[in-house]
Amino acid sequence: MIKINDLSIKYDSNVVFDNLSISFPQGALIGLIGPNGAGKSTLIKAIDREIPFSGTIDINGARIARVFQKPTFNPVFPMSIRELLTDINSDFKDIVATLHLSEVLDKQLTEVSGGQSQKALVARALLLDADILLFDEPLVGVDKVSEKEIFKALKNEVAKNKTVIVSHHDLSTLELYFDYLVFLNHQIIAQGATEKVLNHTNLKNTFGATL
Amino acid sequence: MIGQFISDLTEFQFLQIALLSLLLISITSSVIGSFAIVSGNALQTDALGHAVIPGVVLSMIFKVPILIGALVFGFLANWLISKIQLEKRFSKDVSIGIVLATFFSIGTVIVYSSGLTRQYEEILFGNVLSVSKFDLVTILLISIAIVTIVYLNFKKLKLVAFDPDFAKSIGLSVEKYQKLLMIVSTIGIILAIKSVGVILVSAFVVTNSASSRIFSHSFSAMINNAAIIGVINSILGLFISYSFDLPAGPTIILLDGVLFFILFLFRRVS
Repeated sequence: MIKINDLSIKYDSNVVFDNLSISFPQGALIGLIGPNGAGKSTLIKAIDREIPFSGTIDINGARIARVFQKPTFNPVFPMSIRELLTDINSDFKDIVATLHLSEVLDKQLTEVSGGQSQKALVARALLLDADILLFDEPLVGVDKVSEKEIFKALKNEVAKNKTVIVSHHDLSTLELYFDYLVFLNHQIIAQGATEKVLNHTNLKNTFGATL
Repeated sequence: MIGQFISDLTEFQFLQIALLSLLLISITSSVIGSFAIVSGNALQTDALGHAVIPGVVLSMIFKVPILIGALVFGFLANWLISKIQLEKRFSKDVSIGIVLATFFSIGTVIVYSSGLTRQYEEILFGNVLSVSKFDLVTILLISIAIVTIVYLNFKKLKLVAFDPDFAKSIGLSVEKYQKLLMIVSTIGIILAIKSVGVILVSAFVVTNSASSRIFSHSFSAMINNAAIIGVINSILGLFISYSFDLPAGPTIILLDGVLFFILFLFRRVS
């Protein structure tokens, strides 16, 4: 379980969080929902200890793997998808099958489509066999078929009692993909099992009158 | 002509030393050149080559091994480049250009004020035939050290060069491995200076890796292919330069460059 207490973060004079406290349940596929600039990416970065913060984030020694919003790899580097995965763990057969990557395994990461490249990066993160998986808008530029494959792979991880947190912007798929939702807009608007918290009031309170 | 070259090679020790030193620095250069290319640091190798001139000249004046003076100025140049790069008002090439030109000028001024002008051509273009037995042993030991260090840290160095953000997120000290690579690369570049000179050292270090990048599909293959190209071109270049009384360094690098352009012209466009 991830326990966050009194988390405060600010960029220059812009306060992102002021004493935010939240616990994330273990073994759940958690959707982090909020408008642009609500602090979703900042929260993920803080859990991954990428940015300085005050307060406490207790992950009880768990190992973290993360997939970034935009691919961060060096495009001039010669790297096939097979090599990318082998470098982490050569036992990648199951993940490759789930994500339908077998046909592009020997292609360079820069030669495949955006969706396939993102699936390869998801596969790399899953091969780390971490306890907590952090995904910051992993579906940018990913087609619907690949999106479903990625969530199928994530659900397999949850079945192994792993905690998966996904920052997500497509409100139409929340019910389909997530067990648990956290509505965030600089503070926690609501959190709980999807069927309990996914309602118009929480969406409106999170996204405002523009929804 | 080939028969004469082989006969001289078996007879003259200076030629054997020249060939061995070229083979060793070709292999070392394939490693550091490949990392320089994928990390976007090819230009920095050029700056380093020029920046060590004051160290080389001062070593000659004070009669200490060239490697020592070159190392001092090589690390000083690297340090200055990284400090200037911290200043957000300048792009990376500004720091490289300024350090390169300033150090080159310092070296040239020292050369002309100390009466070493006769040796200046050798500093600029190198002379592999003047590599001594002591130099060869030094090159051998340092080459072994460089290849071993990179081999032992290969996976981590590769990950840091390929995806530093991901490397950081899984707990790797990106800065530590980048520094290690910088140290190893500086030493590797300096190692090649006596043979190919300060002007062409960066071409010697990066050209074969660039050629190899055109047709290699993995980083290990890129390094291995660069080493094979380097070894073949070094043997061929030494033979041509010896047979036609040409300087070895520029002849080898000319071969490297021609091969690059051929491969580039016939590359598969994806």
